[in-house]
Amino acid sequence: MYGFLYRDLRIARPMLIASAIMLFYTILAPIFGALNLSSGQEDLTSNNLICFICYGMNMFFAFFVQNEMHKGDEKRLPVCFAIASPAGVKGYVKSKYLSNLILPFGLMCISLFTDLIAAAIVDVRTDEVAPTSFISMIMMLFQVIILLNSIELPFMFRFGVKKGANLKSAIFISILAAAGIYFLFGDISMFGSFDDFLQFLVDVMNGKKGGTTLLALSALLPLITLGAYYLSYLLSCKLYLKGVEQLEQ
Amino acid sequence: MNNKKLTIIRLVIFYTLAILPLAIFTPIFSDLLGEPMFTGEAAASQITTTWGMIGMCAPTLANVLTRLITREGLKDSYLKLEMKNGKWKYYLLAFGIPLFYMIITVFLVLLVYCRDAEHWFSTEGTVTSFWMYFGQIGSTLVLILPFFGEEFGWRAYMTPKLEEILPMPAALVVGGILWGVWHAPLTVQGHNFGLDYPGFPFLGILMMCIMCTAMGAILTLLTKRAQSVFPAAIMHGINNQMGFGVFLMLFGAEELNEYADKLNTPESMALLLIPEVIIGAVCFVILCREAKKEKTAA
Repeated sequence: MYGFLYRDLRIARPMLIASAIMLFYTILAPIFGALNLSSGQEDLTSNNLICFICYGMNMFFAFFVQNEMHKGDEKRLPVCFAIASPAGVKGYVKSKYLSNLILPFGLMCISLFTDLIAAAIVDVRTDEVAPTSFISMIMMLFQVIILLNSIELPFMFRFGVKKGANLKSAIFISILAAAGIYFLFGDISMFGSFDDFLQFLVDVMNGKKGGTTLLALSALLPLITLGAYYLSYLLSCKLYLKGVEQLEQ
Repeated sequence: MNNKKLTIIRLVIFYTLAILPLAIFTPIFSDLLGEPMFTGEAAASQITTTWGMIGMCAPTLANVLTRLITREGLKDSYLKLEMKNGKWKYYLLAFGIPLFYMIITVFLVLLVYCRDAEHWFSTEGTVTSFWMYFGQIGSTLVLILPFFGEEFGWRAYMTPKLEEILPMPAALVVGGILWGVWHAPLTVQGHNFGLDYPGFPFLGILMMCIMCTAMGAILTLLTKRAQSVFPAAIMHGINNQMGFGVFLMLFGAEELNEYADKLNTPESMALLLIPEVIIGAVCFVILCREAKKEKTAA
């Protein structure tokens, strides 16, 4: 199984190097942003925006780089090897689920550590007792990615890599479109200016706004995600051979 | 060099690497904050949180570095994630055991410390606290890295190495003491017991060693049975995240929060640890019996 995992990581090597280069920016930007802070609220808001964009970029990148790991999965040789290997179909599918977990998890951990260090610097430089933390946002994004993966992977095994990736992109674009439509036609007066909107997001993430509903959502999401990912794995194990038959045709 | 000597050298390298970051950086950060890290405003500081999380990864770093330095390789790394052959039970137990002993602990707290409180329950508070409780479980699952950071060092490296050179009971006790002493730089800064108690800080360090021995026995049993360090990491996470305060709040009445603040003393901790120590003692006996059986069979 770990052999398959190694193979996936080798195939995705160029994209992993690209992620590492991008990480160089997304780690340094929040830290330098925090280091340049004075105690003004305006500075703090723009620093929050930098963090917001950087951590968002990390998770967004993880979301799309994963597809690189499935390159070549539909070629005849790896398929035959997966079926004939001692780990069998289950081992192969498990390795795919692990490789789809490792990259977002790694990027989440890096984002969390960056956030912790940046917040500690803000704490020292501005005497803020509880500086803004993006931990909830990073965790929430990670869980959404895993939830989307658990929808994509069974499709990928049954109907092919391309259709699986299309489905994931379709869901992602639908979410963005829904948000876009809301911002165009919905009631956004409660947000006021962009700064107020950012402050609103920060308050929601730090539990100052949102109430019990949001608390319940953030409490249930990890458990739902974990359950969905495991069920998705079981489903993929069943669907894999059907997908291979289709590939043969 | 014989095996026993090599194991001792590995243990010395591992423990030195695990404790050094805490021993060096904790006083530096405390100096930066201008007061002990776990008291007053410093306890709420982001520096304390950040250092707490990063410091917890020191044993993992020590494990990896020791393996690299002594060219040990990655064998017996306890990194398997398997649910087959009934191993899923130990993942469930990782959630269940802390829940069980903390519920008993909360009743102890209510009976001993909160007898004079006017209200134990409030509906609104209980609903919020219920979701907070689930939130803590969820965040433990996602934020497992710091807890894995400790367990990958203590349970996946130190305990098996101690078992190679000592009989099981001694290995568990020595492991607990080493783990407790590792916390000493934090205990000196007021972690868990505060600063204002007789015998500071030695009584706190002693309490921590007892707590770590009991907890270590439970975690070792889970690791050995599951052949994986992950159940131990989950249980460690739930134990740390679900402080007594969270459980106390499950009852919902706000006035109980005031009582939660008073529990940060060695004598109250001694009382609160009774359920955990009893479960730890049971696990200790199970582990010793199993080791004896294995020895007889060999």
